Amino acid sequence: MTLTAADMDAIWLTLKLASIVTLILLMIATPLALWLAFTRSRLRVWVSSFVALPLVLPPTVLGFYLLIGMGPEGPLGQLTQTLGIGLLPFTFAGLVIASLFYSLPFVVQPIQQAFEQVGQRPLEVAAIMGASPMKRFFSVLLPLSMRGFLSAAILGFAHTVGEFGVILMIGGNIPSETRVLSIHIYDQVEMLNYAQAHSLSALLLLFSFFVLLIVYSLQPVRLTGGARA
Amino acid sequence: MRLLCLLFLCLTGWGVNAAPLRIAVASNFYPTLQTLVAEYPFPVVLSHASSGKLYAQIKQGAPFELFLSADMQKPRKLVELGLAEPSSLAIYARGQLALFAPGIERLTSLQQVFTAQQSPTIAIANPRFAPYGVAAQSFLFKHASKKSDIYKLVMAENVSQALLYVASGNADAGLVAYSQLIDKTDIPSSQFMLLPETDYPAIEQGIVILKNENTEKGKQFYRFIFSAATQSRLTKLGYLIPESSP
Repeated sequence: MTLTAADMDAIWLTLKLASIVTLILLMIATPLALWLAFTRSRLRVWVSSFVALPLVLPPTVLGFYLLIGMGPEGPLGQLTQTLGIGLLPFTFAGLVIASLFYSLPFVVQPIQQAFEQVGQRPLEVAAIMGASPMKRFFSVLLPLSMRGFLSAAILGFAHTVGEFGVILMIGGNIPSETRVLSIHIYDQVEMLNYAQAHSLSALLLLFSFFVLLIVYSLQPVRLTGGARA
Repeated sequence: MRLLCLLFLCLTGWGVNAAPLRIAVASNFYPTLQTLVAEYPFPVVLSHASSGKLYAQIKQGAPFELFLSADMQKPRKLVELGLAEPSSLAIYARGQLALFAPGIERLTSLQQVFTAQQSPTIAIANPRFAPYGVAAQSFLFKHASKKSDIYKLVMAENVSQALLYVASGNADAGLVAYSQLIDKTDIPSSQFMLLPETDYPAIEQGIVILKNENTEKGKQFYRFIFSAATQSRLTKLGYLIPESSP
């Protein structure tokens, strides 16, 4: 199997996108998951539904709305233009924004489940012992939820690597900027370069399988649909 | 219950005494073919995708009687593979390239796009596999620059997406299919222009009859495509017609 310069370019770009998106998502998802896990607010179901949307929406819908929303007439587009950033479609930054939406549930949900599993009790005990809210979060909740964070990071990363439809809509297929691996493979198929498409696809298949293997070995009970502890 | 039975019969195809003709058509020609098929007296089922995908599907035994590709290469390959009738390979239409730039009043040349905006974003179909993209890229190279230093080139999956990029305002201009723009009520004719066909390699779209048990139906539609009436219709829908028809 030989990889061309264009292949390497696409692989590198994909890894860069997935890493950046995963890091940002962990920062956004943690407070969100914390709120979702412990709030009694009626807004909870609304926020949960919003977060889960990318799980059920076809990527074409998400991509279409992002294209319109980030365009010159869209709210996001008008914001970025006012800020002097310009328009986001066809840029790497645009892919990052789109991927944040697209991979959000894959990062929020495992963290939220981990928080819920830890539950209120350890936190209450820590509070009685005089731990501040910050201390409770960093010394009690975070260490107890480490597995959830790990699966969140892995799933968020892998899901961004596997992103296709949304990027096809808003990427513009620019080498080293928006032509990620999945788009590159798609191009190879369209060009009838089946051999090249095959080796890259096999690579992605193996990668995905091992990612899932790691995730499932981290949390054998929860992810196989078993009862919650 | 009776309703359910009726529904079941409908779904299983009761009452349709003849299997419809199944045509694989390249995405760029799909809207045009839909218009044409409206006047065809027999049932026709159209499946549209990129020519590359349809080619792959036919190679894997997809049940189509006819293949209307966006290029000549893929139908020719099917002939070479023995999956299509060699004598049926022909050009059914030639696509025309158009420049679409809604931000410019009275569009008459590509240069206006460059004077209106510094480093404009220009959308084309992907020249790596879309025939309109190949034509668009060679037009840009000829009339603007080989390097994209004076414009930002974005590549869409096909001409429809290139049009969407421009229509949504994300690209300043697009090199798209004339057939997408001609006679569209929501696109004023001052926003686009037909480009001279000598400025880009011809977009020759090829057709083949595929070998299977339903070939006769395919041949019938094939004659319909090359009939004088249909060919003259095509010129009104934004295509050039081949000089000689089979």
